[in-house]
Amino acid sequence: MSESLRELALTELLEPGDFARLGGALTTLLGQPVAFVDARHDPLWGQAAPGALSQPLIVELEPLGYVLAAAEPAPLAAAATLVNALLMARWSYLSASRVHDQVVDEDYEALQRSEARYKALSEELEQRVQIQLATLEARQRQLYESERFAAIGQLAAGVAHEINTPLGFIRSNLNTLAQYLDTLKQLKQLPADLKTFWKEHGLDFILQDSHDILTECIVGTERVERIVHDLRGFSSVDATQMEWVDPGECLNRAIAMISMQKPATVQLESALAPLPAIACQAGLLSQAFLNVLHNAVQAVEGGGQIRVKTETDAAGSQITIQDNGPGIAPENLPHVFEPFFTTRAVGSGIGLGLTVARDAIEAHAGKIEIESLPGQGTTVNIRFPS
Amino acid sequence: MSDLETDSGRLTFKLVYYGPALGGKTTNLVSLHNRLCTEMKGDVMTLDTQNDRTLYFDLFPLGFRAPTGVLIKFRLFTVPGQVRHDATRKAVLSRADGVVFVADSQRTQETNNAESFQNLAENAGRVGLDFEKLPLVVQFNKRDLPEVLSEAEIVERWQAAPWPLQLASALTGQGVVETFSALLGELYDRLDPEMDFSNLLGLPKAEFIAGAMGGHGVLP
Repeated sequence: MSESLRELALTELLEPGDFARLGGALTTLLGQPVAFVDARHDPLWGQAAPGALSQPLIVELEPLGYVLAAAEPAPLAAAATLVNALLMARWSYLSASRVHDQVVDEDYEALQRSEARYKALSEELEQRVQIQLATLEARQRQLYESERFAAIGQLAAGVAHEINTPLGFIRSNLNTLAQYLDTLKQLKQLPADLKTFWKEHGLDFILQDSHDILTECIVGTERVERIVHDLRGFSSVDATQMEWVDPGECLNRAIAMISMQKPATVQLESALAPLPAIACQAGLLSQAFLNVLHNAVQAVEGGGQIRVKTETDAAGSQITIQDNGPGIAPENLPHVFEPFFTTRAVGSGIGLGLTVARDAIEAHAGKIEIESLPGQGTTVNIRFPS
Repeated sequence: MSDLETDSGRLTFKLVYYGPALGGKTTNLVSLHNRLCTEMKGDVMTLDTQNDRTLYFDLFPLGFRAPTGVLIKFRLFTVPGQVRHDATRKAVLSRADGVVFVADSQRTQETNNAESFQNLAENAGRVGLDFEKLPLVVQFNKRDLPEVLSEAEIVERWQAAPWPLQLASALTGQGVVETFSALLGELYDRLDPEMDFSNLLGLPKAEFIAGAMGGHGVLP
């Protein structure tokens, strides 16, 4: 390291050109040829006359060299003093610049080291942020999915109940029909008095009732068929396939589903006009409508009205779902689409219903807006551009 | 470490005066220059100063010829004391053979002394010096000022430390030569086992110190 502070040689303090300039000037001043030699008396510049005297050139302790001339001792000593003054000035400049150079190098290296350290640090930080972000996103997606499947679970419960009713009466009807067949089986023995038998066993009624029973069974199976058909729309919530569908169909399915779940005190009216088909994932859209309807039902749970309306205009399709429930507090309104925002009691929803709905609708280039005034109900407007 | 040029018969020691800013390092060198009558004595060379503050370093060269003919040279350096010149301090401290730590005796300077001493120990490590083995003398300067730590306080605080303590007033010259002499003693003790000064230089310790001071004669 400390090379910057070593002693300097005469040839380091003076350049070849300096010797020529100094030697020339001193030759003129002394009126004698001047020469410079180094500490070992090896010539550096000039040729002194024979019998020349010498004077040492000193910066620290020892002579770095000598100035020679065949001059009187006093003028030669004066010449050496001049050269020494110059050497001193050079020494100061060179020493300072050498130390300065070393210090600058070191500062620069230190700067680069710290820069590299901060760069590494920031990269590491970035990596950690990315990992945390990924974890957070994964966790959020899990919650999101669980909310979607919770809705499907509710749906399944409603559907099971709805299917159970027709299944109950179909089964009961088929049992009755089986008993009727037992009666008809006796006709095989060809009773003597067929008329009396017919009358005694009420075969007129049996024939009529069998007809009614079968009709009722057919109606029941049609009802089951319709439920299954509506349900199928929801069975494909995870299908990514796009198809051209009237969003009103998706809405219809959602209405059919919510009708099974809603309490009898909630009235649901719908005025649906056909809407232009859009490219969509029907399952996803149905679920979006179901989530909005579900909120509406919850808003008027104790008794109230829900109106569903669809219209088309030049700009596209408009779907309005309106309830006359208590409405949303103004301070809550800006937050309703935020994930996990809920005003309901713990355990009755995690606050993702409207988030899921908005995501699904926006994925179909649609827009969802909520207007609400406390005490005057809530209106949800959903638009799809044509 | 000491630079022995066997071919040219020279042995050069680098000695560094270290310490807090405005503690009197340069004054030590100037005072020493005025008082020593060493055989060969250069001028105190100061590198451009800023308001009388050392910017790079000061250098006071001196030397004498040993009986064996070897030229023994001492190059005494000071470092800039200001905290911000740390890189310069490292450059000057590098390859030092011995150090005088010039502390400021004023009570108000205790923290600066401690920080500077800590800085010396750290920088010694950074430039590859073994601080444990480095010949070191601690000088408490400015004894002539009021509001200074008492001698008893200083001795009590430093008694556990292995380094010789010197009290000085560089401005009046008191203790300056004694400090240098103490450092020469430490230097001799540290290097003699490996360099065999008695043989190489024909100098026992007392003669070594006396040579550097210029016989036993010290200018009044």
